[in-house]
Amino acid sequence: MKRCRRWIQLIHLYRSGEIGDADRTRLERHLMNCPRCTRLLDSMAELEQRVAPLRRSRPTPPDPEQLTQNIIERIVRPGVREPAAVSLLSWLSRPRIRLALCSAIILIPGFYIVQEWGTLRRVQQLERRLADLPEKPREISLPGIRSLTAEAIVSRGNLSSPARIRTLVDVAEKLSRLARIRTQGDLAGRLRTLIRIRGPEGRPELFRMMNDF
Amino acid sequence: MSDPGPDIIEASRNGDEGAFRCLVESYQGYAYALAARALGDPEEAGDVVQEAFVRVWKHLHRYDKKKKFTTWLYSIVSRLCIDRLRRRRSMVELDPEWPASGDLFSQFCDRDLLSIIVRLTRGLPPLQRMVFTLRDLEDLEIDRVAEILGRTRRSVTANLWLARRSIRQRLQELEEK
Repeated sequence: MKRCRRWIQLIHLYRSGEIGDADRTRLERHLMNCPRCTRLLDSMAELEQRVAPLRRSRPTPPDPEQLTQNIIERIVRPGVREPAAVSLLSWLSRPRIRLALCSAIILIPGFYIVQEWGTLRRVQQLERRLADLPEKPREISLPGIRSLTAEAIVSRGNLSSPARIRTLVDVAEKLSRLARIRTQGDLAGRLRTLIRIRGPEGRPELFRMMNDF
Repeated sequence: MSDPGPDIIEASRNGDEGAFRCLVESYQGYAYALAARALGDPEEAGDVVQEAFVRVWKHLHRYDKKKKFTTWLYSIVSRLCIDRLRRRRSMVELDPEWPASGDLFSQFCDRDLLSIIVRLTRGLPPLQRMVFTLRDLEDLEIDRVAEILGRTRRSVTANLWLARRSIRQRLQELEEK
């Protein structure tokens, strides 16, 4: 019986179109030498004999007209959607749309959270460096201020977000406080004005101003 | 079983209740036969047919005209039947009375037919029961069964042979009693 195991499945798939020609030929060859599998095939033929009348006899609804009427009554009830209208809800309930929406809900905030987290880390590093500066602000060199401010600008990325601009202004204020800049007006004030007026486009001009300074 | 004309589908899609009534009248018999054979209960089959046609009405705009309407209708009925069979598995399924006639398989009324089917398919997992119903009782091609159930041909043949093996064993047990 052990060696017949592979044929048993094929014997159960006895109706036409269920196994390929090659399998059928191999099975027929096997059946010529295996009385046990032949008996199984006979019992399958008997099963088919039993099932065939069940196939021919078709159950019918006891009261077809009542069944139709019940269906029609159910579809005209308020709340059952008109078939022509593709509602937003049904469109949103499609599996692909649901998958896309869930991905967007996870990925978009995720992207901003990761980006914001990176920025915050860089700002923290910058602030630590500012905290480590010598206590006497006059000793800070002008190139030092330039590079720190430039780093602050770079670390902010683009200047589109109000939160980023605010952080940039904070950093600039700290720098100006440390450096006690009085000439050419207050650096933070100028930065703030520049950013407010020019937005992201102000960034190259900001660099130019820093170089001029 | 032929498909309805595109006009009747289009009219039903546009909310024409008369056209939809024609659709129901033409196809409720097929849907009922499938549900009754799969569930073995005339009342439950009636409920499934009603639910299936309400879903057809609701989702007709989703129907892909390239596919056969009957395949779509059968897939809705099959899903509803599988859901009911799954729910039923958690409950004790009662053994129906075995028909009293002499030769069980030669002459029987509708209720006998259903009780014979229930006896034979009792205890089968819902998917195997559905595959057996579609292939052996509804006499559909393997590829069509696969399309209706959203399975591969391989999965359908695997479920089919398992179902037939169980039914053969069950038949032997019943005849030995």
